[in-house]
Amino acid sequence: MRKIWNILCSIRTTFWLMTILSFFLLFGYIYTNTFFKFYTTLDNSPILQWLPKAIIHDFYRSWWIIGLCIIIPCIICNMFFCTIDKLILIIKNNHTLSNKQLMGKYIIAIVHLMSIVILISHFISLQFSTMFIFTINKEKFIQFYSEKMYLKTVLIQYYPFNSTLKNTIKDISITLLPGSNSKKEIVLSALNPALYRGHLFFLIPNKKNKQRIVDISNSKMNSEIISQYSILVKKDYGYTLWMYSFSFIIVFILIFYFSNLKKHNYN
Amino acid sequence: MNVSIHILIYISFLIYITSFIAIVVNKTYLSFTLLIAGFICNTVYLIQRLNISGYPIPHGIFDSIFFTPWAIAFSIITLFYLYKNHTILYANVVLVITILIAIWYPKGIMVPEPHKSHVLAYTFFVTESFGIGLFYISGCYSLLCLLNNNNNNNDYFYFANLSIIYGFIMYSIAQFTGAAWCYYGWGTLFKWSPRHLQSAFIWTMYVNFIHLKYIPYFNNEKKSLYALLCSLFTFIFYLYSYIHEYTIQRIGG
Repeated sequence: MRKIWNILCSIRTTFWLMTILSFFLLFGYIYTNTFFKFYTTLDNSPILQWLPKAIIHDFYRSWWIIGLCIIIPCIICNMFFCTIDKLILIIKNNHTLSNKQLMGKYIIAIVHLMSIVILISHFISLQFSTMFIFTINKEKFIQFYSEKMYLKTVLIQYYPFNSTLKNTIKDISITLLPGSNSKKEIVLSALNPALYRGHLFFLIPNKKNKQRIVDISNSKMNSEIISQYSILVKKDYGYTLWMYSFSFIIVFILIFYFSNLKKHNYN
Repeated sequence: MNVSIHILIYISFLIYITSFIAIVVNKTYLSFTLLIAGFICNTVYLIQRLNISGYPIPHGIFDSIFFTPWAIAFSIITLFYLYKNHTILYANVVLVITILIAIWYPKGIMVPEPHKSHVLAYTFFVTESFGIGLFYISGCYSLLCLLNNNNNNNDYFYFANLSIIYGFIMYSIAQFTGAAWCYYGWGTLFKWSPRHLQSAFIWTMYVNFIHLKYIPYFNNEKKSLYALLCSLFTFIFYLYSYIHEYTIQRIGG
């Protein structure tokens, strides 16, 4: 039992797990470069539903994702037990450590625990998010659960005509009306999602969107531009968790390194 | 191509290479002065890129290929100012290589898209450029550490380690801002695309490096070798993505 505990808490285990993780990520990089389209289907599907189909039909392109799914929980376990082990040691020996040393050790422990939360929140986001994608081109409304949302206005903003960027879209925003007689408006634009009934509405570019400069004189332009965008409606349970834990990590890493910088014995 | 704007990057290159030659012949302060002169010239060039399209947009400044040499020069100047050690200036060789790549590259700006014009995107490009710049610098010191077996060895190792720590902080902030940008723009924190996997790979390798100090098997030499490998991987990945974007339509050069 002690031997298993030592392996779980070992930094050598961390090293090997991280090396294997790098290996899978490297192959992921090579495979996604080669078969880009194949992996785009994974972006909009829960990973545990996507994976069994991929294993049966396309094992040679999905083996590295299986590897990631195995290795990441192992890293989470290793991080958790390492942190617990170190925390027990710190609590036992806290009278021998200065306040600054104690603070440093607690910060490291918090960063590791938050890293676990980040990995779990990524999994929650990839697996349990509910999402719908609507195209806006020919339909004047989108069906969101039992609710019909009508497209009210489309606003396209261009760069000034006297610059070399003339005819280039600067920003695009659309207004949706929940219900035909509703007074409430949902305004969403690129990089500014809107929140409605616990769901976030994103204006996302379509994958085939390659046209960046458009001919303003063309009367069909608006519908053509709009056809290059979709509305993604998403309820993401992992995002808030991810946001807070990552913010904590960045702040704690900064505090830790800048407070320990002078401790290095240069010369 | 607008030569009057882009001439400054050629001048910066000439000053940087002279600064490198000066440190090779042991003229430390001449090298540092030239580095500052090159940095000023490089800064003016980047500011001019702001208005390259006739309308001020920050894409021109924060384009990774042109911003990375500036970030490297800034990092070297800051390190030299803090530690006053002539060995720091040997990293000028990295600066010369990165600015050479920038000179070879098309100098216009990519046609801006609504989804790429946001403060998160600019923060991502700035921190990422600083991160990779510091990783390249660490690679240079690691190589010097492996090649030299004299008293400078500890200096090289110390500066390699320091560059990795700062670079790692910057790269972590880039991961954070990049993921937040991706979420606001595309509704997801992580996409199964080469760009995201490349970043995750580089970040994981450096996380591993930071943990090496707790493994007795890895002495300074082995750690330097590992840091050099990480740096080479980073360089190859980013060079590949620059080549991949080479043919994209550009404005102003």
